[in-house]
Amino acid sequence: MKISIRTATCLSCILLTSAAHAAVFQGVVADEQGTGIAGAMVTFRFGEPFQERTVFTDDAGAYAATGLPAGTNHLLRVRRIGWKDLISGGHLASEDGATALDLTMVRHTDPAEVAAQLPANHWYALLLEKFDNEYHREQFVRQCTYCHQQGNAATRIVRDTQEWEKVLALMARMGGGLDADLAARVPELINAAYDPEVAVPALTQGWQEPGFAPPPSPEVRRSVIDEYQLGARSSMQHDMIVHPSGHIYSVDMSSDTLFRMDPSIPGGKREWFSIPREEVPLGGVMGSGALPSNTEMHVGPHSLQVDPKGRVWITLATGNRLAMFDPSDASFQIEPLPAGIYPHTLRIDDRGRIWYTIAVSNHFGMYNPENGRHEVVRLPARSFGEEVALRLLPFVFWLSQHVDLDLGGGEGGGLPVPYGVDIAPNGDVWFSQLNAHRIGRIDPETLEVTMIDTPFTAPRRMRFDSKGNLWIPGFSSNLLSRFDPQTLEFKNFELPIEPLGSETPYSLNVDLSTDTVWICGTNSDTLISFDSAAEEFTVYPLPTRSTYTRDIDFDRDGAVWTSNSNAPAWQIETGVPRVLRLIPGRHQDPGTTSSTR
Amino acid sequence: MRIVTTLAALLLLHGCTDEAQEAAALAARLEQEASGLSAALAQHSAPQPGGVVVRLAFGEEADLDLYVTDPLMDTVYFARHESRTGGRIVSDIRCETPTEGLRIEEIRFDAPWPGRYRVGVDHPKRCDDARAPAPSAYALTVFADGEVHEKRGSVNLQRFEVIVLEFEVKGEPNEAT
Ligand code: HEC
Repeated sequence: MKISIRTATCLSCILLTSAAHAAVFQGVVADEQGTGIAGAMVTFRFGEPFQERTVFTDDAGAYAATGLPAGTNHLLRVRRIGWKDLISGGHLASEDGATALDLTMVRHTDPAEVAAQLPANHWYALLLEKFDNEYHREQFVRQCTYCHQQGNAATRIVRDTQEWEKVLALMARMGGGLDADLAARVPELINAAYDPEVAVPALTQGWQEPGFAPPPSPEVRRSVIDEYQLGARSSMQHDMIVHPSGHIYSVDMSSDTLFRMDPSIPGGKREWFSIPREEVPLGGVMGSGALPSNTEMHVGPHSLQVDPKGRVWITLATGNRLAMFDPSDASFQIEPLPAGIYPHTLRIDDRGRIWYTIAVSNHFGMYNPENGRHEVVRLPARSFGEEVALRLLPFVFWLSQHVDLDLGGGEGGGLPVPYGVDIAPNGDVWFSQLNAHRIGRIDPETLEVTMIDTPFTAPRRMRFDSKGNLWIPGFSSNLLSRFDPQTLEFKNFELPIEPLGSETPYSLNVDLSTDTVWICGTNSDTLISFDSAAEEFTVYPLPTRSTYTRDIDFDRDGAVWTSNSNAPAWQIETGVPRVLRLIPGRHQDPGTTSSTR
Repeated sequence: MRIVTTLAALLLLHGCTDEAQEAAALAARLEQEASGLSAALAQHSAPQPGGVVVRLAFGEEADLDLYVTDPLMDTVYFARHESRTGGRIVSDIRCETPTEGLRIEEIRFDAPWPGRYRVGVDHPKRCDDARAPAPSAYALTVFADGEVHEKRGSVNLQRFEVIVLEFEVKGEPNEAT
């Protein structure tokens, strides 16, 4: 165990942590004949709110879960596709030495149950192959997979046509509009794809053979995954970050809350701070149409970043504001936007200036807290009609507060949406325009904008590596792209998630210590790493079904953090939103449940 | 482009009528319709012992949708037929559903979890050709814990009134699933 002692207080807290977390469970997961099962996920849940620690079995079926609290009851779950989940409670680990716990799994006999264990993307692939038209496929993926997974248990139900029409009309009002001709075809396509009579045999072909759902690689199986319950059951933990202090901060869009979690405290100490709503009504600027039924959203905190002084800046999307949280006195400062609608993703440059996309009105903003100066730039539209529609938007939104107006979801989500943003090592500011399939560069001094078409669809949240390459996920194109701002060349890498083409990568981040790119396997319950030197992918399966991820960050120990923000949260297995830490396999010793710095 | 057309139409439609007078007449009509629905609903539904039963009544001019969010913040509505706590939608009434005048949509929880419940009413669609705002009247009755909660009102086309009523079911909190 590596311990770096920073202060006396910290030393005592680490000692305490080690004492309370000395426990180890270890054993073998085997079938009824006693043969070890490789690649099973063994999950221990403890505490309230809970933490879950998952480890994998090796080739012989052996596992060891270290760093668990002694003298505490653990709920155990063992999971492997093709086998019945093994769930049992009341496991106490002894304080001295490892507690032996051998486990026996029983094979599924019903293929429908095996199909139900598969991540959503397996089902989704059945639907995607039904589209005979690339324009429709792309649109469906881009418009239907950005709040929740497609193909998970809640969305793959066969429904009568009228019910589908109602679902599609509701989704359109929420922002997931489709072109009329596509919407007319969707009920039939979905029902044909998800009909269990056809889907189950297709998904479980050869399921009793050893090659079906192969275990992850030995390196992946050395990883440890921690999941921390966070927030209320309706929470939408949109984005999370690792603060230099080691705290995890996360914003709950659905309840206007900023969460702080200290993973160095056993089980994770959680605190929450209500973001001032001022006079903003329920729903904020989006108040009129269709809000999620369980929402408490007024200002809608969306994304967050830390400035050079350690303060946390947050975009309040539906409040049309920026918020600054000062951890030194837990106070908020609110900064209304001078123009534009829906501040979205932000980055902070070396000088502390905040750069952010403004999604709905196609603007880009900069705020300098040093001198209180705001800049808002109107981003280029693709056509005159688009330009007129965008210019009318503020008026339309104003009008919608006074008279009833059908704002609709925009057929097919046509208007350009400024989305991801990042700052290049040379200080240039880059952003993506999602629906327009373009990226752009803003000169930080002159604010001059240059646009570049991407040779793939739906560039979403992007990041620079240490060498100045820009890495971009193609949300509806199942790829990772590397863009060189010097040569303006793109190189695309298809994501290796099986079945190929079924992934929807929402976001990525680059671990600057190694230039490893980490990508959200948003529709497949995975995190995907890409070694940028060897140009190789590694796929890490995550334990909870419907783990919908939108952002990634890293802690000082090289662990990878993300949050499960599937909205609605009830679609998440067990219905509980979480933040997650993946300690990749190359880090041999996962230490305790606290991070041992 | 739809926004531009809607806007143009709205500006044209926004003529020089006596708005205040019209609004008052409309409010009176909606109130009358809602109280008619309320009376019909009372006649239709006998008080329910045990469980939680939520009923929404509306006229044939619109498709209104009932949403009930349970203490786990899990919602039962036309597209989520059952919640984790066992709530279920008994009937989703649509424009196409044959009914005789009164339309009643119902959601029930046979063994309701204690805690707070939220009821929402959405107006996604007209069954006649009326254009927005096209408000539609409704009446709502909740039987819970031996108590009856009632509410009536109206909701405009394409509006989702996320909270029209909240109520509590008493008891010890359940184990989370
Ligand atoms: C802007 C976010 C968003 C988009 C985009 C979106 N959905 Fe949804 N979807 C939701 C929410 C939220 C609910 C739950 C409804 C509620 O809270 O009232 C939902 C519910 C559903 C349901 C019912 C199951 C359930 O859990 O309630 C289906 C099916 C569904 N969506 C399919 C789709 C399809 C198909 C598309 C694309 C046309 C789509 N969604 C696009 C947010 C979205």
